[in-house]
Amino acid sequence: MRETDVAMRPQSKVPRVMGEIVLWIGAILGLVAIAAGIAVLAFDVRFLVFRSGSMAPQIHTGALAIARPVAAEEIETGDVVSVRSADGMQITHRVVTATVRGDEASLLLRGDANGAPDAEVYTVRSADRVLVSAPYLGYVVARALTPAGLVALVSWFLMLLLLTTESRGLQPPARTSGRRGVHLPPKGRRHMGPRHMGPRIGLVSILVASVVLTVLVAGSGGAVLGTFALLDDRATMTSGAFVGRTLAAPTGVTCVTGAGSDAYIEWASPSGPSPTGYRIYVTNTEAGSTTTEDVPVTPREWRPLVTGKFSVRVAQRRNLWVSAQSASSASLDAGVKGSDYKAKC
Amino acid sequence: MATHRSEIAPARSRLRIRAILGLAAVAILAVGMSVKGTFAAWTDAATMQTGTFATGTLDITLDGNLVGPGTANNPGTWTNGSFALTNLVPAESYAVSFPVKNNGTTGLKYTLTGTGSGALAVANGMQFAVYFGVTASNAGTEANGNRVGSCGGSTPTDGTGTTLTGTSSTFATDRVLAAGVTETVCFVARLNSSAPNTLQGQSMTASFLFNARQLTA
Repeated sequence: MRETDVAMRPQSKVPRVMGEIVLWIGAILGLVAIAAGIAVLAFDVRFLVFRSGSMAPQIHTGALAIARPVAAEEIETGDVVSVRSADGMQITHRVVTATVRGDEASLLLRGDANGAPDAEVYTVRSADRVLVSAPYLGYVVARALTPAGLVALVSWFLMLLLLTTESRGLQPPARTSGRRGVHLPPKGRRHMGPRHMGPRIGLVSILVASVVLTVLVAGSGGAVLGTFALLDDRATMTSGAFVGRTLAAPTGVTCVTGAGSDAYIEWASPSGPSPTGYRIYVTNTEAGSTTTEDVPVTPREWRPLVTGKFSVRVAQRRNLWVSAQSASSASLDAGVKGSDYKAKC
Repeated sequence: MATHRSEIAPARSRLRIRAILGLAAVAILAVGMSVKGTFAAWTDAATMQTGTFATGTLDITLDGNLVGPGTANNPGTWTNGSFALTNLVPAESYAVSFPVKNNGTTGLKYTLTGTGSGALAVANGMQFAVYFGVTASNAGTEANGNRVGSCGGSTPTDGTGTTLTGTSSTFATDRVLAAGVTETVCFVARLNSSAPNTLQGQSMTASFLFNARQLTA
């Protein structure tokens, strides 16, 4: 291992190695924070943390994407865009069709892992178009932006501060030739030389900047968005056919001479479920007019209430349904002259 | 060439090492907490920022049919031939029930909507009702024209059944099914007792869409 100056008195290798690790992590975090801050401020980018995986295999859960807002008319089929749904969720899916009307676009979106487009058609004036994405970074960012994550970050920064400034107050300037934090460890460790001062001071600057910019990015209100790329699955059950019955017309319509030589019309019970009633079609053969008369299901007969010569057909009723009229008819003569007004067949 | 530290340096250095180690412990603990989410208040705040993560597969199956998440079987259609009835007279009904399962590894919620097509899919024609958690039973005979289907004892009436048309009707929204969970869904089809005479001999089919979406925590 290359021996480096860790700016504290190294009692053993372990703290020294740990110190280096902390420094490097701090430096990387700082650089990332600076890059992120510049991107947010200068290029209006958003960071999308993917909370679900319907954009797989391209973008998995936990990915971090960089997106920039684009106007409605610039949205094209195939773009991956992030929009807000009617129920307030941030949805990131691929554009299937974009219909631009004026400065608004109606977007039909579909997750790559979904078999069907989203049910909702999103109408937007602008949308965040995903430029690049990286797996797993979303997890890191999400953790970092939790209070616990922020506590961890601040702890890292404080460690960095201690590590980079420790020897400033410990060693008189004269004994370090005015170079803070540079000294030769005991037991003949190699002196790293003044050229290592630049990176060390740079680290301090980076860490300060990273604190500021991380807080800026985290707190700038929406620069980092959790977004859903929701999986969906549509299953349809189709029924078989529901078919209504066709009511059968009654058959066997005949004139019957009953008790007391009084004639009436009767018919056979039709096939199928029993009717709720019957409809009698009475044609006055002398006047040429037809009237209808609904009768209950029992008794299964019809008697004239007025005089005349009638031809009778019958239909069955079931609720509001009425069957066709019987094919056959039966005739009856009610109130024949010279009789006592009894009906005759 | 730098010289050795002053006499007090080792003591102060040890102090700093202890401070640094203490901070490291805080940092590691804090990271651990945020990962495990043991501090409820903190993770609640985390939800406000970016929310929780959801991984896994989403798959809703109907009576064991349409297995396969995502594009494998999405959208899929299962023709339930047992949900059918002929020679219906007004006020007759028929019921079927079957299990709907979240066959995936992530929670889901689904909406259930229905459409109908055919001459019976009109006002006062075929009407439908959906019940959850109950099974179907059927009574009566075609010969007597008195078939009655019910779900856990419930049968829709003229007033409570839903007419299905080309425009989808919603029967349920946000039915939540945790991963691996099954629920029984029961359908009743009923011909309105006031079905107009023109509906004799007519037919229709119904289509029910279970639109499942990944549950967001």
